[in-house]
This record gives sequence, C-alpha cells and structure tokens, in this order.
Amino acid sequence: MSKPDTVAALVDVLVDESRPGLSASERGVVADYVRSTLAGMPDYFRIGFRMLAMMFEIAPLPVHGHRFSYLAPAERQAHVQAWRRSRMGFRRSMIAFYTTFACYGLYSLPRAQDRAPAARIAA
Amino acid sequence: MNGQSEIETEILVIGSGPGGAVSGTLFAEAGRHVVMVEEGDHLALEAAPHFSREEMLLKYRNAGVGVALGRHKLAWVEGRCVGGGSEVNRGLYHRTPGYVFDDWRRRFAVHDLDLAGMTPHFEACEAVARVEYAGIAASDMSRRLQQGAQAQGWLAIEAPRLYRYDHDHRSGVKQSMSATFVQRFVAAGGALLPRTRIARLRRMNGHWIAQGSRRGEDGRQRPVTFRAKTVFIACGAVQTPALLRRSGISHNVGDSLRFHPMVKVVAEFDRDVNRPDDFDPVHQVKEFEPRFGMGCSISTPAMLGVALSGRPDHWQLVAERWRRMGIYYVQSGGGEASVRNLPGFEDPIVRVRFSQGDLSVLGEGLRRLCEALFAAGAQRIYPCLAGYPDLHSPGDLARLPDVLQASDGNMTSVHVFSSCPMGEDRRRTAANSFGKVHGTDGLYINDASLLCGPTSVNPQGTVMAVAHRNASEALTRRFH
Repeated sequence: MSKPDTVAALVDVLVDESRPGLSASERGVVADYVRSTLAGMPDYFRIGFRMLAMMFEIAPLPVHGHRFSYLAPAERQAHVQAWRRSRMGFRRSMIAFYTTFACYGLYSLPRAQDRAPAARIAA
Repeated sequence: MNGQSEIETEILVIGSGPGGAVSGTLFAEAGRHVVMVEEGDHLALEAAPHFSREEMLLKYRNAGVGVALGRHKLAWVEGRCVGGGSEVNRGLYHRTPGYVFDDWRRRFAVHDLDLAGMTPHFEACEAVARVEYAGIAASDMSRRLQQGAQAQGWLAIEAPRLYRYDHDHRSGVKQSMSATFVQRFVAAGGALLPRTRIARLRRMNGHWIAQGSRRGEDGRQRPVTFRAKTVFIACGAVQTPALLRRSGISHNVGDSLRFHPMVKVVAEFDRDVNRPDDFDPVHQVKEFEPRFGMGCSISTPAMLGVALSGRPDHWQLVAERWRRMGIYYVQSGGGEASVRNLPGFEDPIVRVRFSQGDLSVLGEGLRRLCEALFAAGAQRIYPCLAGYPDLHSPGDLARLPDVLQASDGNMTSVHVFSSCPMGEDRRRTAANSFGKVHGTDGLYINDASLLCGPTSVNPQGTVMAVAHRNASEALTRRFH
C-alpha cells in the first residue's frame, strides 16, 4: 500500500465541491501550492497541522476500516463535511484553512502557465 | 570582513523594509560603513505577479500565514524580502494626521513629535519614493465607494500611492523600497546581504555581536556573525520584539502590538465595475476616523474566490459575476496583542484580545460600510463573515448584529505596529523618543514597532518619516 497523501486527497474533495471536472495535473498544482503553504507556515502551527492531518487521516478507521486517503469519494466527502460541521473548533478551523488555500490555488490556475521563474537580483 | 563568517561594520541595520531601508540609506549617504541584512530574498518587483499565489510563496513571511491566537483570531500578513512590506502592499500613502502625533506625544511623552516638525521628514521620503494620485484613472469599483459615501454626506477621498502612474499606457512603477531607497543605499556604498537572519544579539567589549545564519544558493544555512558599534533593528512589529526578547531585552518589548483589524464584504453591482487592467483601488471613507475607516480591497477573481469561499456556489458566482463585484473593508484600531518566543521554535507566537467595545466599533463600521455600498448602487452584499446573511437592500441591515461576531479567519490585517513604543515614559515605552532602546548603548529600533498606537491611516508613510527623523537625529548626535 502506498503512503497516504492526506493533502492531495483533501484538496481533491475541496476541488470537487466547485470544479469536479478539473484535470489531474491542475489538481496537482493546487495540492502543491497547499503543501508549499503548509511548509512555510509558522513552525508551531506546522507541527499542529501535521498532528491534525494525522488525526483527520485516521479518524475514519473505526467506522470504515480505512484511512481517509483510501476511502471512496463519497465517503471522503462525508468525512470532510463532518469535520466542517463539527462542534470542535479545531476541526472546523482545519477545514477552513485548507478551503482558503485550496481556493486561492484554484482561482490562480488560469495564470499559472505564463510564469517565468523568479530571478533574484543579487546574492 | 574577518574570515568566512564574521563581518565587522560600523552600523548594522537588521531588516530592509520601510524603516530599515530609510535608515540604512541615510547612514550610507552620510558616509558611514553600513551593512543591511534581510532575511528574505532580493527579488525584482516583477518576480511574481502582484497579489498572486507565487508572490505569497516568494515574498510573504510564512507563505502568507500569520495568525494571532485568541478568542477572536486575527489573520495578518507581512513581507519577507528586500523591501519588506512595501514590496507586497498597494503603497497607499498618507502623512500621519496631526492628532495622532499629538496623542503619542501626550500619552507616551515623546519629545519633538508634531506634524510641523515631521513635515520635512515626510518631504524627504516623498522626494525619493514618489507619491502620486490616480485621478481620473481610478477604477469604477474604487469610485463606487466614494460615490456611496458622498450620497450619505460623508467625507471620502482618493488616497495617493507610492506609485508612478503612466496614464497613457495604463501602467506604472511601484515605488517600493527595493525600487527606491534600497537602490540609493547600494549606490551610496551600503552592503546589502539578503537571505541573512539574525537570531540574537549580545554586547561584548563595547560592540554588538549579532549571531545568525545565511542561506546559500544551495539552500543550506551557514552561521554568520556581525560585529558592530551600532545596531538598528527594523525587522517589523512582530520580528523586532521577537529578536529583542531572544537577546534578553524585554522591558515593554512585545507587550502592546496593535493592528488595524479589518472585516470585508463583497458588493455586487448592476453593471461591470471591475476590469482586469484596472489600477489598484484608492478611495477611502474618512468620515468616522479615528474610530473606523473604510476602503476598497484588491478584487481579482482569486481574491473574490477566497472572500466567498465559505459559500457552496462560490465558483459559479465568481465565474459569472466577478466583473460586477468588488471587495470592500472596514477597519478600526481595536485589539491588543503580545509577541512571545516559544522555546524550541523559531517563529514567535502572537496572542490577541478584543474588548466588546472593539467588536462593537467593527459591528457599527460594517453596517455603515453596507449603507454606503447600497447608496452606491450595490444590488447584493455578501459579508465575508461565517453565519452572516446576504444583504439585498438597506432594510436587511437590521439583520446585522450590533457587535461583530467573527470566527476564524474573518478578521484580518495588513498593518502591524506598536510592539515597542517610543517615548520618555519608561513605564510604557521600550525605547526613547528617537528609538534608542532604554538601558542600552548603540542599540536602536527604527520600524513600525516604535509607533505608539494605530495611525488610523495606512502606516507606511508614518514608518518612513519616523525612521527618517530618528536616523537623522542619530547622525546629529553621533549615535550617543
């Protein structure tokens, strides 16, 4: 079994909510942006988000027998909805964070192709 | 230079944003030996499209993720590149209102601070970083706010920008620090070291030793040490107190961080107001300042998408109607925060608290903003606040709560300041009237941290002018 990719699976669900027809490569661009944002966030948040992602990933195990990344699409969607509507603030916050950045990545897509790599002015 | 990793200089400026760039330039042009270090990269203005996700990753601190924790969280952003916040903001510019200086002088015992005395410093900064008005080139989306405010009988203005407009070609050049002061700094012989982070300072044999690391082209961090008689810290209102506290200096440091907290709405009009080649919006409502002000935000489809991301139909809504939409905000000066370092972590933690009064002001401001937008012809208003209803007419405003009900991410800020206020009242200030840190020799703060409170207006002009004033004073006093 391959390593679970929680970010890609979660971004997939969020993309499906607004653009179900988006290509796999464009989904990858959005997921890469979300991963870069996670990598750049303040270090204490990063650790917290890793732990949250792990909790989010394994939470379906008792009921479905599978981790989030290996669920069927409808079950993944239901899991995201359950966290989005949870009474626990940290669950709602986590989904809100991913929604914001997946959304920003998604809306930025049309302009992604015409970028030249950033050039540094000086060392 | 001494060896591979120890650099000796007369003056070390830490940070290259508006405070650091202005300070470093004055010192270099006065013939001083100056090294200016910057944690981020040195990137061209056009290295990434403005307000794009690429810019967020390249030029913003922590990829644009800054959250002040508390019962009502606040998300803020800061620049992290040569030029700091001036590279990523719109460059809206104001001279500080005189009443703000008068208040700081009275409450914090700041010497020699009034509008008349500051005017030469504003003029000197404006001679290098040019300030211009869009005039007739301002976008319809921006004008709508002014029209709505005027229909209500309120004062509304066009704010100038640190920008050189080319009206013929509907383009222009941003007057960021990298395009203005930093270039003068380098031309005057100043040494600029990007990708260099200072972790802590210590005093040894009459000099400051700044220890940190430098990121090489290969991405690896290498230790670096600076030795300087004089150090100017200008890392921004969060990083400056974090560095001072890591260095064991904590008196009134990081206890009083302030923001201009902001809440937003999306207004939809009956015709197109938002075009891809529009200049950045510039109109602001001043009627209610200093309690709260209003303005128009960058309203690209991506920004509109994020603003409406809580709605299930956001993609369709933005795709169909973005040209008829604009994002507008109300901002106050409420809330107070602390900056602290966490053992074992590099990034400081910020905790914020808002009083009921702070949230009432924002609640009232939100209602007033919607009144102006309906008066400007808005057909629908979508508050960017979880649980708030869509508004279809002025009659719906009665459904808005009097006190702001903000959940995670609904409150944001692009202005942070006041974490190490200046003045002679040592009970509430971290540095003297000109930025010299109390109880130290040769150590100065010269950035937004020094401001004694909210400026009401966009603070970059204030930061630059105060930095110019303090750097001039330090030169006059020969750093004593």
